Amino acid sequence: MRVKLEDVTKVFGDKRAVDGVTTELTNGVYGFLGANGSGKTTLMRMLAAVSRPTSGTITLNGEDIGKMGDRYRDMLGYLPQHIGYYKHFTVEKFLAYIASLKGLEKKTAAVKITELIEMVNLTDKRKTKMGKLSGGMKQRVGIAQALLNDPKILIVDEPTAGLDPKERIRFRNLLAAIAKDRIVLLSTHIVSDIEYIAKEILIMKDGRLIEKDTPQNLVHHIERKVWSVNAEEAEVPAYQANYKVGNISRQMDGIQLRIISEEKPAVNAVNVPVNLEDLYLYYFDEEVGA
Amino acid sequence: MSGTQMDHDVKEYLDSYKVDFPNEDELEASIEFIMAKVPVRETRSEVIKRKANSLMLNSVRELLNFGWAFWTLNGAFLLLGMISLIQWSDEPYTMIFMLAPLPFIVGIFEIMKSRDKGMIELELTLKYNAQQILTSRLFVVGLYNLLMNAGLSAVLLTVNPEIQIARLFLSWTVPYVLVTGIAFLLALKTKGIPASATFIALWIAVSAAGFRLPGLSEMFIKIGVLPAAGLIFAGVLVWVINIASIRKMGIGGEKYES
Repeated sequence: MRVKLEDVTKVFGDKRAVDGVTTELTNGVYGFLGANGSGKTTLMRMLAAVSRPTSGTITLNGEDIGKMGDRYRDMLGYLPQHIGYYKHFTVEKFLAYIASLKGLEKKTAAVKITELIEMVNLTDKRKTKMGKLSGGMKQRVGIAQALLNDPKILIVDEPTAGLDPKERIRFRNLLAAIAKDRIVLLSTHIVSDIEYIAKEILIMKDGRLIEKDTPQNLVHHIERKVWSVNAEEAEVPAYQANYKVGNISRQMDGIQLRIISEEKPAVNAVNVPVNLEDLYLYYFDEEVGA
Repeated sequence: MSGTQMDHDVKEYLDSYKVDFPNEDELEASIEFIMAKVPVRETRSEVIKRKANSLMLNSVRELLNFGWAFWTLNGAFLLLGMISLIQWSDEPYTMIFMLAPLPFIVGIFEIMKSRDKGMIELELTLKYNAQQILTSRLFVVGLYNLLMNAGLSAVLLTVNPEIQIARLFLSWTVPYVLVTGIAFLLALKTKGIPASATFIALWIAVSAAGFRLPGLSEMFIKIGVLPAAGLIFAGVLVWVINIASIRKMGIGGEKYES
């Protein structure tokens, strides 16, 4: 299986939401990392054939996905960033309804629904109406519906939003386990969602794909640019104004700052091992995700 | 190396191999083996049959998943309709004219629920996608409305043999085609529930007021076949626009989300 994007662009008015993305995806987990507005969701929608590129092509094994119609949709599992639900449906009925729309036979669907409800830890909520579920539980139902047809291409847009840490770990492990013989595309701004499971990470900024590499190689790019600095409390604002500051931790002898900088930010600064959160901060001048 | 020289070298290289031409049986066996793997192109009738089956299957599923509000409201309107017909039994044409599009207009919120409940983005990616789902719901609600109108006509004709069948037929086909078309067009541009509620109120108010105006009721009841056909044709045109909109339906105008 090979999904190929060639110069994919999506324009809304005068805004280029996705700008000339060219890349190739094969089996495994791909993490799309980027701040809000970086074009992740627009790209995900085009990959799910919900939206068409303004220019450029997306092909699966050489065939344009826009022309494949239900043959493409048949092998697709999709969890949109914002998903509504039919509130009066129970969890079980909702999944049965989606299974039917995915063309699953009743018997196969029943087995799969039981399996997935158990997997997303909602067995005791099976008969609960969707309107009565919490945000996290609804998200878990969303994850379950995406997996109903055993998709060859799984596209999940911000799937861990609303999940508690235990559920996030469970979901990560699940993705890692199923990714062996399928393409899994996961968009997130939470670094820890993809740090250990992504075969490659694609970094999006202002609609452009600025990096695509393994987590190890990406981290390698900014080696020797991450520093640990011990500072007095009064010095912290100055560091924050002049540098990208990650973690700030209070120590017995003052404050320890984690700073991303091309040059040594202080005489007592020492290089520390790099992680993906540092990478995120390096590319996006925003607060690091949880 | 020139192209001609390369061609010559390749030819010479290939000439050093001897490839036996396969016999007839081997050729046949190969063709037979490959033929089994070549997808057969569907005939036109097969495509129509497959699409019709799919519409039926989807329609049954959608019908079974209609919410209680649809059935409750339609039950209420049916009851109201029966009472109105008894109460104003001397104005059968007017009554059926007013009642004719109501089941459909009531059903608009059920038809549009994918978009209104935020399910459309997901449903666009399913094997039977949002357009097919919406078409199935349209089919179910439209057919239900048609059966209601036909049933009501049958009841009226049974209790009042003086009613003219052709006039009765025109009295409900015009609003059934034209008014439902306009109501659905409005729903496509706005939201299902408000469009449904607004149009029901508007239709009842306008048609009731209209029929109280001297001469208007008379004019409609005596409407000729040609003007009626013209109105029905206008309704069909509105439906063509509606169907084209359904085919193009996406995630709500595809706005940029930052």
